[in-house]
Amino acid sequence: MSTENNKTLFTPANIITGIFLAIGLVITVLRFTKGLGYVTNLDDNNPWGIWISFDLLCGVALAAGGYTTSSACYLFGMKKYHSAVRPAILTAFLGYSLVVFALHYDVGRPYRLVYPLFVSPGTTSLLFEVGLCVFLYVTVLAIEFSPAMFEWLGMKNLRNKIHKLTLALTVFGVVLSTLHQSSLGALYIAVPSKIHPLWYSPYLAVLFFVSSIPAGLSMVIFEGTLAHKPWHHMMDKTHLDEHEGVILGFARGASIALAAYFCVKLVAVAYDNNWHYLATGWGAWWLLEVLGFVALPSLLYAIGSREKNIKLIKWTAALTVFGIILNRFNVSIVAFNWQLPASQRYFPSWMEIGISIFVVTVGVTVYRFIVSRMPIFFEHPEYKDAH
Amino acid sequence: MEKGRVLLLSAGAMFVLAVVSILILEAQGVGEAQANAAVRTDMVTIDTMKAYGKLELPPVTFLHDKHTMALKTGEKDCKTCHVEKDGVIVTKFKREKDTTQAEVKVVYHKNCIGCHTDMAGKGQKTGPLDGACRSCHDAKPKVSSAKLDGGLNNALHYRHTSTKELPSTLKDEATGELRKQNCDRCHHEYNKDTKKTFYAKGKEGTCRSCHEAKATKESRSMSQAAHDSCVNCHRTLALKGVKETGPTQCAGCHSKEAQAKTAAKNKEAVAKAGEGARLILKAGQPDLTLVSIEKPAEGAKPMAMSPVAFNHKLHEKNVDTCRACHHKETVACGKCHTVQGVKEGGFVQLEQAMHRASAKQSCVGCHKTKVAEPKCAGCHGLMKERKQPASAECKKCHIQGALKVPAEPGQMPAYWAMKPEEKAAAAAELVKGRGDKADIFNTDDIPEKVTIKSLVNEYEASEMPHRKIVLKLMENVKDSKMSGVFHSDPGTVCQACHHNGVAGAKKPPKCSNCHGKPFDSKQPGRPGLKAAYHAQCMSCHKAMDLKKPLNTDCVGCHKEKKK
Amino acid sequence: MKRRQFLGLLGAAGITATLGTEAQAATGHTFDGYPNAKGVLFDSTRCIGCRKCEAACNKVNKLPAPAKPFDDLKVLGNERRTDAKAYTVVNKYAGKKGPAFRKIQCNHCMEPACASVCFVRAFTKNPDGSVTYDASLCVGCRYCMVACPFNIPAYEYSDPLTPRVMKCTMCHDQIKKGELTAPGCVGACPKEALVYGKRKDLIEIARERIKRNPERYQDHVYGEKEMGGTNWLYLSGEEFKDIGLREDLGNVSVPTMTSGPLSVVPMVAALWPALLGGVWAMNKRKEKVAADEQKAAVRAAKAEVKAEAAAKLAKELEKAEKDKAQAIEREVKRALEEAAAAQKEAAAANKDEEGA
Repeated sequence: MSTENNKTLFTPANIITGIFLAIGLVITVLRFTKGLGYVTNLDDNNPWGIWISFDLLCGVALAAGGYTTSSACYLFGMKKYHSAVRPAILTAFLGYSLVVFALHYDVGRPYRLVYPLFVSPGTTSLLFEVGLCVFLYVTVLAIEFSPAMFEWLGMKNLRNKIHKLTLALTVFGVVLSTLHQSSLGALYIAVPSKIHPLWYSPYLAVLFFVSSIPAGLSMVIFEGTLAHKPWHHMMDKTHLDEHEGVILGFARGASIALAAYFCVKLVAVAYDNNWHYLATGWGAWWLLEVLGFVALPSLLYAIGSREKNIKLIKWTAALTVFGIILNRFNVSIVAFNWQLPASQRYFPSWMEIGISIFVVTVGVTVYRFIVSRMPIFFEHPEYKDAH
Repeated sequence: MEKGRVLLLSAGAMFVLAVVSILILEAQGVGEAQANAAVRTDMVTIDTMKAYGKLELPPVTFLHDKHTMALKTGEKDCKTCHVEKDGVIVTKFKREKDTTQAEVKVVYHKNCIGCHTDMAGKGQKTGPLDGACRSCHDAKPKVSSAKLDGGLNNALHYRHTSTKELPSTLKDEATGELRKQNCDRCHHEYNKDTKKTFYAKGKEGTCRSCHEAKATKESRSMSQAAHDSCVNCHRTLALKGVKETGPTQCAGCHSKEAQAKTAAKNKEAVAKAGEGARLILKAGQPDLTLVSIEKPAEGAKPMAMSPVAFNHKLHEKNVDTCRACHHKETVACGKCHTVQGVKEGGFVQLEQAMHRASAKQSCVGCHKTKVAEPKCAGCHGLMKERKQPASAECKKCHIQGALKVPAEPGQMPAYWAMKPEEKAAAAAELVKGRGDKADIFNTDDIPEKVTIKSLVNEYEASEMPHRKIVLKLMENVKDSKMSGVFHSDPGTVCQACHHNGVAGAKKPPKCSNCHGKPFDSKQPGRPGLKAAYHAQCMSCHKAMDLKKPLNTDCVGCHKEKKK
Repeated sequence: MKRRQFLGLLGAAGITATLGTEAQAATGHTFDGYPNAKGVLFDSTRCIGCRKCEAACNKVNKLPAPAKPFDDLKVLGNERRTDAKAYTVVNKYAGKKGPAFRKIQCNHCMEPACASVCFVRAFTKNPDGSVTYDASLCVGCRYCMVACPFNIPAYEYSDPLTPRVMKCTMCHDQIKKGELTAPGCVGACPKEALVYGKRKDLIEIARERIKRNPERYQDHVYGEKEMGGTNWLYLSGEEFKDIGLREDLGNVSVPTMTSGPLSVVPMVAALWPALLGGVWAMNKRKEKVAADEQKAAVRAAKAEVKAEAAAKLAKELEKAEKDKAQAIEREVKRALEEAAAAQKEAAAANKDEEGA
């Protein structure tokens, strides 16, 4: 099946991967021998940095493609997205696994990460909520992904048994995703005094959940775009035929979801009559985020899907993904501790950035391994049954 | 989508980005402009148009001294901008009174801009010209006011009454020569019918008795009256060539530096005048009198405290202006503040007028402000805040003593009916029995050093120089006659530190008799012994502004214990 | 999926919604804090900034020695905060009435944010009023540091494997063991700027001080209501924001703020399966109806075609019958004609013979 075994291992992609992995390993050793203070720019006023903002918040938001795609196909009956489900589930599974992986770097005692689940659950905490749902959801995603692996391994019976659970897993996945996407936003409901009023709202849970929908849909388009050329040879006719339909359909859905998110953003500002903040420098930044990265992509998606302009949609997907990352960063770093003087604000250290890149690299590498071997972009000939 | 559409959208996005970046930059710059505002004492807000209706443009912030200083270089005078009427400069700009809106507007524009234009023509640096409306009508002028209120205190009044430059204009009836006292130069009464002012001997009150902060139908505002009278007079003298005359510039009365200079000159003059000089010439005020209630209603039995022997001359010396006590008119308090209160006195009863501790013009209130000085604040800061004086203290003022006054048997002597001389005599009699020098116990009875060793732990025992402290406190009390009266009982000074004990006891109880364990829930307000010591000493030191020992200098009071 | 499976799912969802204990918020109970909870009252007007409290805290908790000794008062020139080696610091502020001092330490809130947000219950609000930390449970997520509105918890960032959150404990352990009768800082203060006692008594003491000396104090006891109430109360002569205490925190505690989102969780778990299952079922039904309609349409089309063909056939058959009949008729006619003609010929021949 895979052609990589025949070629040399030192492709440009592999070399870059190797460099990032090596740097990451070095920093890993430093982290666990010298401590967080040595490796990060975190301090007592800024306990959460990009490992939370990017690896956790963005990672979870952008892995939302899993539940959006599978619910579109299996619950809302849109069969034309079927070929997009497996790649989306794979991305989501890898995404969430990486979140858990990256968390091992950020918490002070990673060997106790099971404590909140099995030793002393802190049920008053929204972080417990996040942890429990992420734990369950990674399990669900693993199970949802496993048929691809079993097909590759030829374990027919097991594969068929799990396949029967698809509907239940999808429903459970949507429930868990709703809960943890919103709980990540709800984490910040506890700190109104530290987040700028334009980004703080008692509705943060709703904001994060609603924005995760276009995030997931855009991520499917975006990473479908990235994967299309290098993995073209792995894609079967159905996948290639349905590709454009997925892009157009998701563009329409994302446009509506972004429009809804825009309205929720306005409600969040109107809630405490915070309009006067829009006339400040912070307001200008907020307008940039909302007009340039929420309203604009909503419009562009609508235009693109109506005129069937695939190129425009692909660029808009990238714009949306960037916008979601911007929003998560704004809530957790930029607008967080906004009242502190500049000397006490946080900026990531190069080692923190290095680990984040390392985590993404690990994910991409595992993705490349799986996609080049397992039936993700194609249907295994022995299992071409109707769903 | 056609290429054109994409381009349009991208252009739109770039535009939004550009606008937003500018806004962000703009917003960062805010806050610096405020810091550089100039501070001036001569700001005049020209808002005459307000009287005619809603203003079209913001009022003009006019800097008066800036203009008069500019005129000085050209050897010009007030008459450049103001008209003179009956020898008096009218403070309105280039007119005697306001006519119609259009005419007043023209007066301002023609003359202000006209003058600027002339100066610009001569090549001089000048103000805004025609067309630069907002340069004058600036809603947010970059100046802020540091104008202090001007005023005439007793010392400055003395300089006015003692100078040769201000002779009286009236002739003495007896001698036919000019009066020695020049009260008539400033003091006047007002005849509502003839609308003229005239001098009334014996009725020289304070300016503000009639001239209030805002103009009324019958009198100009204080500000207007002061500028009309004072500044004009200063100007007239200056024109005559008098060297030492009062200020005509805004800053001359209203700036901090000028006021400091004036205060210094006042002090000099007062010192030169000597110990016995009266700053306010005698014009009806008593030197020594009885303060008592006014005549009660016909047939009513009078119920009141025994009268207070009041040394008016001494009090005159110790206040800045008459208005410190005579806050409305220079008459006896009881004229407005009757026993039961009347409308004239704002329904403030006599008792409150005399005793309200929070009012500076009451007796008790004024005395209270004196104890806030660092010299006194050490002990008085430690004392409990009281709303009224303690009843044992009443007789310090309401001296009860024998009075040789004809009185009907069984009735209180009718103080209100006494003539001033009789009152003075009675007061003198009363005061004789009252001690007015601060007193303490014999030096031998005051322990020289007190060793505080009950809590020795990290530090050695504290050797307190007790006698030195007490004698220093006595020295602080020495100068003031008032403090002499209040501290005339020997044990009084001790009471600040040795509180809650028996007054006058030579051997006060130990602190540890009452202060023991801290945080006793049965005694919520009472500090433990360590805090009692530290709070007592440190509060006094802080209130008296002592630099040594500093409260944080532990070893300054007790040596460190060697381990 | 089969109907039974679906109903089973629904039932499961319903059960999850009913699990759990009674939600206090709905039943009208209020908890006004432990009745005998102790607290500390800090009177800023009494504090002289001598830092003896910092020294005592350091000693009592066996913390490492600081870089600058505690009698160095120059450090007061910088605004400091608590860190991993100092549970409490004193800061100097420029007040309107002269320099003012404030001691910073954990405020031991009545409804602590840290305890609420900790996902392993590493913080406990004890009945004695203190909020204590259990390092044996802590995972090191540092959410407590994010959530604390006063920015108090500090972290041992320099420890690679066993870092702890560090904050004031109100000397809970030492008092419980009997080593101390009041927190170390309280006992060390020479001016009794810190008073230890029952929280409700402290509020009364504070109010009494304000009443006796109104010009000395701001008419407010900080911590009485802020963030739901704290067990460390403050009195000040300067405005509280001028001594570093934020006046914009509000009176709502963090647990109250997060109770809303938390309450939604079981509802989502209960409702979503039914909603999504319903959507799926509706889709399935739509598909089935569409499939049935299609089948019916196909059948109808087939039948129509069949009927048409049959009609055509019948018509053809009829025509063929008719043709055949006509052909027979023609033949018969021809045969008759031929026969007639033959007969006539025969008759004529016969006649000829006779007539000869």
